[in-house]
Amino acid sequence: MKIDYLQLEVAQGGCRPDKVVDVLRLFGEKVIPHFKQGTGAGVLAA
Amino acid sequence: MQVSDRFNKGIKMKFGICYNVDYQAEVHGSPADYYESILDQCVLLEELGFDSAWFSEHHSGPYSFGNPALMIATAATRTRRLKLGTGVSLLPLHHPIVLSEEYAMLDQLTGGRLEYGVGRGYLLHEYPWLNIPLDESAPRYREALDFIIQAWTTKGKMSFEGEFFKVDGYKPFPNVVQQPMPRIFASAVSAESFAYAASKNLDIGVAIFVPGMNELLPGYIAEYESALADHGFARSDRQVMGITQMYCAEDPEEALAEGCRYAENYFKFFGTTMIESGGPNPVAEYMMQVKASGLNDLNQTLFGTPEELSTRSSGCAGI
Repeated sequence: MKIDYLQLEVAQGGCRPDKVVDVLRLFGEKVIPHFKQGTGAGVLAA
Repeated sequence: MQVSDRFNKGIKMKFGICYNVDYQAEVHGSPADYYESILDQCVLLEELGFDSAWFSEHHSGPYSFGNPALMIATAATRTRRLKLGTGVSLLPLHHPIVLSEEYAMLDQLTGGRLEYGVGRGYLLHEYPWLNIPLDESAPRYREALDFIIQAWTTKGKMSFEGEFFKVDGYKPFPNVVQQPMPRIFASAVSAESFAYAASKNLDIGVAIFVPGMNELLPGYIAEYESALADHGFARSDRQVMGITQMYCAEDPEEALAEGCRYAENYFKFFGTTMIESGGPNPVAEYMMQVKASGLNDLNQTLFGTPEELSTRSSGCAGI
């Protein structure tokens, strides 16, 4: 199976906007860089 | 080592955030506060390296957006790189002249950043409210899609002779920036809808949290890929987009508990709204009682630590 793109839903179900921001920030800083070298916000050191 | 370096070997995955929110005044404040917080998040998404933000369409009170194009237009003024999409635009509910013009304008206004998700929706009451016969949903969807593709790829005047829409000498304006046209992500939940998208050389948007999709999806994707090849289209040009709930936290117990809490709240809302809209049905009843932790075990939702979600996103990419 090959999914190329993930469209993620965080903000539903009564999640407060400040919580949504925390989740987006963590995902953006620590997950995305593994899939986009050089384009994310802070590539993790292996 | 925070995450195995095998994830830094060129694995590609795009990430977008979808806003299909069940607005709650006690959580989101005024409608103006609510829209502003989402637009602020779009700026953050761009800074963090996300690829896109998506805005849904529904006509069901405070759920979702009555017009996702307005969110795209506003988000476009605050961002420069982020792709902006519909998740989804409900084609059968509108005349395709209006849709093709509106979204071509957005491709211009965003500088070629439009990604157009299309579908038929699942809230059945939207059809009679907008005076569209429900039994015309599928043929209107397909005809509107044909019309929009023709309008976006026509230079000069066009004619269209369909069951629902007829024009002669219509001149589409403006042209789309992206050539030959913006990506169109067709909602797909069945083998038939995957095959149809392949026949039109369209990208796919599939909700992976719906019942049984973990077992069905590999077969659907295989059929989609086979159908693309049969029609002479290249899989490498196309994108399959999985749609699901995500919650990320450093503490694994918090990630699972909070992810399940918000997802189950949403699933109950989703199921209740479906039943209110069209009466009882198996999917709605499933959504109202499903345990999100079970979906997470099956990789149909993504709740976990950054390390866990890096691994599991790689799994979605077939790695």
